[in-house]
Amino acid sequence: MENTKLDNTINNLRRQKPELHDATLLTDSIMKQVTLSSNPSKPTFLIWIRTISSSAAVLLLGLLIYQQTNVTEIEADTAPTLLVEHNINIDSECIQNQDYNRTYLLKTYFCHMVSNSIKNQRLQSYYQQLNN
Amino acid sequence: MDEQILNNLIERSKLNDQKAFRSIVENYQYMVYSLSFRLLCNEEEAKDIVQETFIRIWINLSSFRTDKKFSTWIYTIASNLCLDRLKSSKHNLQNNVVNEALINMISSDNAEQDLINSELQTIISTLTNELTPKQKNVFILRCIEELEIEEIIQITGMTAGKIKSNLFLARQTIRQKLEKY
Repeated sequence: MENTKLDNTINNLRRQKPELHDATLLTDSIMKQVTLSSNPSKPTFLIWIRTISSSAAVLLLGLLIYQQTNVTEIEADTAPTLLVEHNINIDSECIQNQDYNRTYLLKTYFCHMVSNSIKNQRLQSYYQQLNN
Repeated sequence: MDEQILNNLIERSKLNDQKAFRSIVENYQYMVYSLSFRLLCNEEEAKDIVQETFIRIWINLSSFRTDKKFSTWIYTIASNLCLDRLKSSKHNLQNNVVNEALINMISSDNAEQDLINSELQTIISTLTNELTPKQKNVFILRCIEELEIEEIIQITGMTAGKIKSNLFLARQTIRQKLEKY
């Protein structure tokens, strides 16, 4: 008896299909969302931004490396001059404080000449004293 | 729908043909709506599930293999979404007012009268409100949608034994409920 009740109910439920009143509206709404979800503008835009910023970063890095290499080369070119200056071993402040740069090269030589002339004068006065 | 036509529509949809996808939606939305309405007993929630199902289908269409049954794949997505909704606190249970329609449905072996959605949702909700989401899912898929056990295995991912035991418990609970009327 109870099984008959259950089977009747199930059979009747099978026959009763829920009605979808606004099917076209629902389809339109789905298609609208599908269009939105498949719109590639946003991801493409993001991909472009990422590509451009990555390329810029690589270029900047390359430029930095190139600049560093150039500076090292310039320093290497000026190295013998600097070595000579060190060999002179003059404890003059102008040499000690000098920046090893080409701009100050003339100034450095001038300092050397001045200090050398002073030393020469001292040496001459020493010889004179010895002779006397 | 003819299998060749369907496969053609699927292939075109995979190539972003929205017209082809619209045809798929028009053909299958009733099926998805019917399942989700019967599971959730709520018109608006059922429509939400229909929308969500087809958006997921559109997004994942490239992963669909044509050697599988398309309707089974749709059922899988829709029933998973319904199960999530049933388990979540967001799901709105309708007020179960038992009416004449239910008495008529139980007593008549061939109820001719078409029920309106609100009556139908009340009846299904009254009969199945004590079932667990899994029992409800299996009961609706097997007894109401009349799917084969093999297809339910693919949809739910459960074993045949688990499906049968869930079905037995569901039928027992509903039978006990019907004793009251």
